Amino acid sequence: MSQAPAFDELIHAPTRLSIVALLAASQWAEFTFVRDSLGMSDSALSKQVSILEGAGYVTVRKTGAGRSRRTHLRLSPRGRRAFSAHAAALQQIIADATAPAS
Amino acid sequence: MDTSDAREALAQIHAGQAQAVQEAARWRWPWWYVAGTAALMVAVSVAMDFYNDAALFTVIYCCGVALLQVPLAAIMRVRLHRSHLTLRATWPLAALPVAVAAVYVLARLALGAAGAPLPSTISGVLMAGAYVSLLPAVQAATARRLRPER
Repeated sequence: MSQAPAFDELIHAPTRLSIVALLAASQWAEFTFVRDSLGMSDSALSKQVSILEGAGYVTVRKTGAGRSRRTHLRLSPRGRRAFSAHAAALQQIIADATAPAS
Repeated sequence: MDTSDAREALAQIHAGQAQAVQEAARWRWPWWYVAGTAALMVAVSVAMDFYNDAALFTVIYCCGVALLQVPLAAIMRVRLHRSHLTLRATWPLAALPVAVAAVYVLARLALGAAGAPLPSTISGVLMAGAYVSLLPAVQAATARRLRPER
C-alpha cells in the first residue's frame, strides 16, 4: 500500500498505536480480543477507543443483548489511511537517518 | 522524534499486526461443523440411492449448510485477516469443496459403470472421508499464507 508519509500525533501514542496496528490486520475485531491481546482493562481500552472513534479512525458496533452483548471494533477507511501514512512517516524517519549524507 | 523512537513504534506496529494474523491463523473449524457437513454429505448421498429427487436433496443440503453457518459465524472472534490478497490466502478453502465434489462425481460414474450396488451411498462416504481428511491440511495451508497487510 503506497501512502504519502504523514506523522499522526493521535495515532502515535503507544497504546493507540498498538490498538490501531491490531485493527489494521483485521476486518472486525472483538473488544475482548483487543483488550486481552494488549493486556488492558475495559475502561482503559474504552477510553482510547472513544478518542479514536471521535477522530473518525475507528468504528464501533454493538450486537446482541444482555450477557451475549458483544462490541466489535473496526478501523475506518479514514483510520486506515492515517495509519498507513503514519507507518510511512516512521519508515521515512528511519530511511532519512540511515541514508548517507550528501 | 529520533530514529530509535521510530524503530520502536514500527516494531510495535509489526507486533500488533502479527498478533492479529496469529489469531486468524489459529482459528480452526469446530469439530461439530466438520462432523455436521460430513453427515449431510453422507445422508444426502444415501437418500439419493433410494429416492430419485436430486432437486429436493440439493435444497436440503444447502439449507443444512446454511444452518451450520449460523453458530459458526457466532463464535468467530476475529474475522479472517484483512487483506486485498484475501483470495490468494484462502483459495485452498475454496478448492476443497470443488475437489470433494469431484471425488463424488468420479466415484459415482465409476461405480455406476461397474454396476455396483448403492453407488451414491459409497460415493457419499468417499466424499465425506475426503472432506474430513483433507480439511486439516487445507486449513494449515491457508494459515501459512496469512501475512500482515502491508
